[in-house]
Amino acid sequence: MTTWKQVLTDLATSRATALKRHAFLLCGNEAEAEDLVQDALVRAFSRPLRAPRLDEAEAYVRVIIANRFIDLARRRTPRQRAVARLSLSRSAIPDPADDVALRTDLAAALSALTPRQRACVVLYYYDDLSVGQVARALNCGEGTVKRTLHDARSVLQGHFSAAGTQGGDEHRA
Amino acid sequence: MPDFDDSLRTALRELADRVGPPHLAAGPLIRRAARRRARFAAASGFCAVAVAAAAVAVPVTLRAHPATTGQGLSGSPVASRPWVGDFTCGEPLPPGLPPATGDGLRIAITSVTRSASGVPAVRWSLDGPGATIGPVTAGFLIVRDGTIFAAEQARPPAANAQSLSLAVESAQVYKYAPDIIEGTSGSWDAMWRQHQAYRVIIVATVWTDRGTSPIVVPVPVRLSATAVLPPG
Repeated sequence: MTTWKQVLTDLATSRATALKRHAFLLCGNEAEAEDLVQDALVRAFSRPLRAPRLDEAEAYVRVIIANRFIDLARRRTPRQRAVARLSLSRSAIPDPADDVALRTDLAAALSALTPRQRACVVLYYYDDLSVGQVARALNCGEGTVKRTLHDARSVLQGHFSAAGTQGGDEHRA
Repeated sequence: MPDFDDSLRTALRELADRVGPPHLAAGPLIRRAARRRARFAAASGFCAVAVAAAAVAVPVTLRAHPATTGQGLSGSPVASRPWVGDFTCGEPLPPGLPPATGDGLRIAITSVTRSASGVPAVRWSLDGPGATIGPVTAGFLIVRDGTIFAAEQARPPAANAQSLSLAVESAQVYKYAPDIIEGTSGSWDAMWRQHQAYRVIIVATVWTDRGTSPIVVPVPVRLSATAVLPPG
């Protein structure tokens, strides 16, 4: 077996869960996350890698997942975006059983971000990449990453503070 | 805001930890990647040649070179012509080198043969002034009506660079659906039975010293020659 096949096999067996979690944070859907991982693994090994070490290959696959997620989000048809919004608004309907927990759910907060903001947040906060590394991964400037992260933080803080305020009001009531 | 950042990091990890393992099998992924690698190799080596192949596939445009016109093994003429031109595909040019030209160098196909299973082999030679001082990368295409049916690229050893044969192995023929037929032995055999006249185009990238500069500079030269595959 050639080297790239061995690395691909190792990634698919030992690192698949970590890659799926990374993809899940981006897309918020387990099935879509699996598709993203498979697609990224195939794309990563479609061309010869310079140094196909496992850790470097995994980092490369993570970058491909992030970029692929942004690409797919851009290509979504208006109908798909409308369906996503409808399903999101339906899930955001307050449920008396787990009202506060649902509103403070991070998944719901992440879904309020744009694809690029989400990719920046996942790469910076979850993958612990530096601003420069995120910029290189997403092929944009460091200033763009800083601004995107700032915007994403604002959206997330707004989401959590609104949920906290509503939860506090309900507790007070 | 370090507190918020730390909270966000922790929350992201907790959210990710809820996700279970995926159902991934390495075999199908390897097969898909291998197919894409083959397509990428074919496209990167011969994308511009395909355009040129479409142009030279018309017999009227061919000009037989008197010095290199010979006979194929089966008695059909092998018309070759030196082709010096503007192929921009193949070996990437190192930066800082002058544009590729082919002053004085010629490439000629000397024979086209086929094995018992129908696998073609092409022998060619380089001649002309200027020493060949670098690696020669050669590839050949089997073309009909502007469609590439098979392609192979190889780097022969330097000792044998002036005259060599390249044989398309069935495993090395790139499948480029729907334009390239998969090169199994069976399909080769069927291909030759169905169509008798295929054109062979050979493309070589040669590093040579053109000698027009007081400083000896290796000049990459791209050459091409065409021939008609003899009927079998």
